[in-house]
Amino acid sequence: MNREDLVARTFVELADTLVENYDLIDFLHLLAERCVSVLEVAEAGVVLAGGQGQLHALASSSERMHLIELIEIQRQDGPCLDCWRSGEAVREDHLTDATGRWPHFAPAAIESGFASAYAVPMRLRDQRLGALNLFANEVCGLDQSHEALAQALADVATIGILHERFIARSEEVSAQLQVAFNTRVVLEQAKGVIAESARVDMDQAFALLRGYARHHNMLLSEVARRVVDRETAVASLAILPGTRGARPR
Amino acid sequence: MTSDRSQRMIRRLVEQAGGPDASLEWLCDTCARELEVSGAAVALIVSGHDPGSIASSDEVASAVVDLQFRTGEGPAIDAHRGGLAVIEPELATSTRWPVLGPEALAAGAEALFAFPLRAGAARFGALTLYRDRSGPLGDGLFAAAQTMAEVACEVTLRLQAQVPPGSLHQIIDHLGDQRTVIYQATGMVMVQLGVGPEGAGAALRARAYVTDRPVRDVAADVVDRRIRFEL
Repeated sequence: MNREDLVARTFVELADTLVENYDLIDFLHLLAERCVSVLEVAEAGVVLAGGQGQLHALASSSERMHLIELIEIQRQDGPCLDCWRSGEAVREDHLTDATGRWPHFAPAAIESGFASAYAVPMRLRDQRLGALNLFANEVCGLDQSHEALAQALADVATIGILHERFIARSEEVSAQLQVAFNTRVVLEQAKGVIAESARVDMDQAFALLRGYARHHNMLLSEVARRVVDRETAVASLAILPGTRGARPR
Repeated sequence: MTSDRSQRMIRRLVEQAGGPDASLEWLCDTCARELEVSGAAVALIVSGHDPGSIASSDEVASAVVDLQFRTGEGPAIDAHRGGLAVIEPELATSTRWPVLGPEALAAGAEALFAFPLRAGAARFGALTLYRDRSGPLGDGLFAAAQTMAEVACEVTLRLQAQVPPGSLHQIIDHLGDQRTVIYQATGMVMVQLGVGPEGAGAALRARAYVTDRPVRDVAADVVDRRIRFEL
């Protein structure tokens, strides 16, 4: 397969992965592996910023890569840190020249056998998500002509992450909607159960329910659920002290 | 519909989404017009068989959803359960929904279409379309309808995301208000028949069906103790 085919196939493969219910970590690992083959570098890794601005090494093409990324994050120096802070791509063709720039990262990376290091930002407009790290065993390991392609792959990672966040948020809101609606339904059903069992009207049924919840320091919704599920007998609601005006007729 | 038209619709909808609650009604009107059907409704389905419209383009569209609530069957329920689009271009000859079919025809629907509202693993209803003459959706309109269902899903969730957890956005709350008497009656019938909420709900709907009355009216009679369900 020639290079153009490989690049095209990689993008199709990544797009195909972005379907419903995909696993983000799995997707980012695939992306890191494909970066290695398409960009002809030794290793690739995805570093993502968490809610507190703390970076996390989410997916790496190898354990060697992962360890160096952890050093970057722990010691707070290295290309991905600079890239994430600035939002701009970072190039270092000669790691041996970079021990001043990155006093912790550069020696560690050299010791692991890397000779050059690059980082491409993952961002959407003003929103900086993280960086795509690319390390090579040789100096000048990322061909200049590959830079645009590296950014395109970082953009695919960005889309994958934002898509996953959107879905997660949607699922959360949908779950809240269902819970809140069900709570309403169950509360009304419980009033009906009490009204029928205790021969009271709906207002009195609600007063009994609320009186019981307060007396037992329970959530109204929980008492309602128990009444509907017949875990709490209606008779035990009606004999409470202090439920004035809500006694059975 | 060309993709240009589809994109323009979506752009206008998204512009409105953060604003007034009219956006879902507008979406239904837009679906009716642009998808070349007679009407559209956004049906919310919270528990398994409980569809209720939170927005609709016209009376028939909301009646089609209400009928599904009463009969416990129909395109919105199937789309919601299966997670896939449901297409019934010729209701008159279809045996798919034996109870709903004749009622929907009588209400003025000859063809029914429904597209699930879903976000990731979550599903909570269906965009329901009807047309007063039979036949499939027009060329390219199937994909457009699916897109509109995605937009309806996003708009609904955006509205719900505006309120704190535990509460409901007013257009969803409004559906709950309309159903209050039904849920109260369900609780009473549970005691009368000694059954769970599903059984009691089914009994209420069946009574409404055989007496050809709205479920809400039957429920009001139960709550006012004019009707009792006996074993």
